[in-house]
Amino acid sequence: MGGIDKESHFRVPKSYFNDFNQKIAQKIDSIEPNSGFRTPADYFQKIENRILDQVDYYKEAPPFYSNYIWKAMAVASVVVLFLVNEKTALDQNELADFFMEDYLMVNTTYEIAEHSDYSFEVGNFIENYESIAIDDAMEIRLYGETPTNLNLFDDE
Amino acid sequence: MEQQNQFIKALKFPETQEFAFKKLLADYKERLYWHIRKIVIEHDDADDVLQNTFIKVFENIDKFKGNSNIYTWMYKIATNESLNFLGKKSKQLGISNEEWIEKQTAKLESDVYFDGDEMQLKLQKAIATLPEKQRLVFNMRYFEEMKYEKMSEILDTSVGGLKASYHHAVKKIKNKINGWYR
Repeated sequence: MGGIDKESHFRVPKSYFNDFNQKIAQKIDSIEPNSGFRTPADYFQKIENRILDQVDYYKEAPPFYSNYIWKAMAVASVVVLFLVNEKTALDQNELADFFMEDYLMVNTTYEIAEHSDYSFEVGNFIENYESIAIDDAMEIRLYGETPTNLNLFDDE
Repeated sequence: MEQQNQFIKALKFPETQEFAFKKLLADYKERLYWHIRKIVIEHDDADDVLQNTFIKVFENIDKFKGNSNIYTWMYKIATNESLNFLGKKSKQLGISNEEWIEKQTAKLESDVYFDGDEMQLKLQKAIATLPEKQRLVFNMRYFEEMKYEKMSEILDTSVGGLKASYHHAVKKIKNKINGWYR
């Protein structure tokens, strides 16, 4: 083994190592951007649909519809119900006043008395008539006068 | 800017929201995908993060004030989602984010969705060794050719800081690759 020439006998071009750095730098500079990396066929056509499938326009887009509008509608409903209720109560009171006034204007005392809950008991009449003299009572009956417009207890 | 404001209004208004969101998806899905893919490496992971990003955009569109470009805002969400994803995955395995990325990059050779040549594979492996911030900056500048001003908005870092990060990243990558070839 000792007699074997250790020299490899491989040779390099003249000044190969001197120019090496420059050659590598040129090679690096000549590398095409994006070269090397590849994508599956039709990847960019398919990826668009895959992303679009994950996007929910109506859920994400209008927080206006999803949150605020419902809150605003709830508040508005309460306000409207309150106002309608208030107005109805007012109308009912006005209506009641109108009918009462009309009732009192149009109906006579006797008609009103007929609708009244007041019970005309016999005892009440007897008591009233006992305080009136028979003659006076007759006179009332004959002339249709009411006891209220007579001065029954004055001596004539 | 006026055009963007109109578009934002369309995204927020229920009647036009669906149409506007479809347009947003059509316009930005590819750009965001590639940004995410560079961070998380595997296609399936990038797919998950992209979906989460668009869902987040949709859910938070009301919070977007319109002070910046919508693309910048979406880019920011995509970046955060990607980094959160890395955080979760590495935590599950009890390793650092950087270790997780190196692990993912090592699998690239057998990945059916990676057909880069040897040099591209080496470049990815070199990028995987960078600290997180430098990796982000390198990907955004080198592959996406993004302006530093825009990067500054997305990553909340000064332009000077970003330039320094990129400079260090390039230096480390070159050294790494040179080392592998020696």
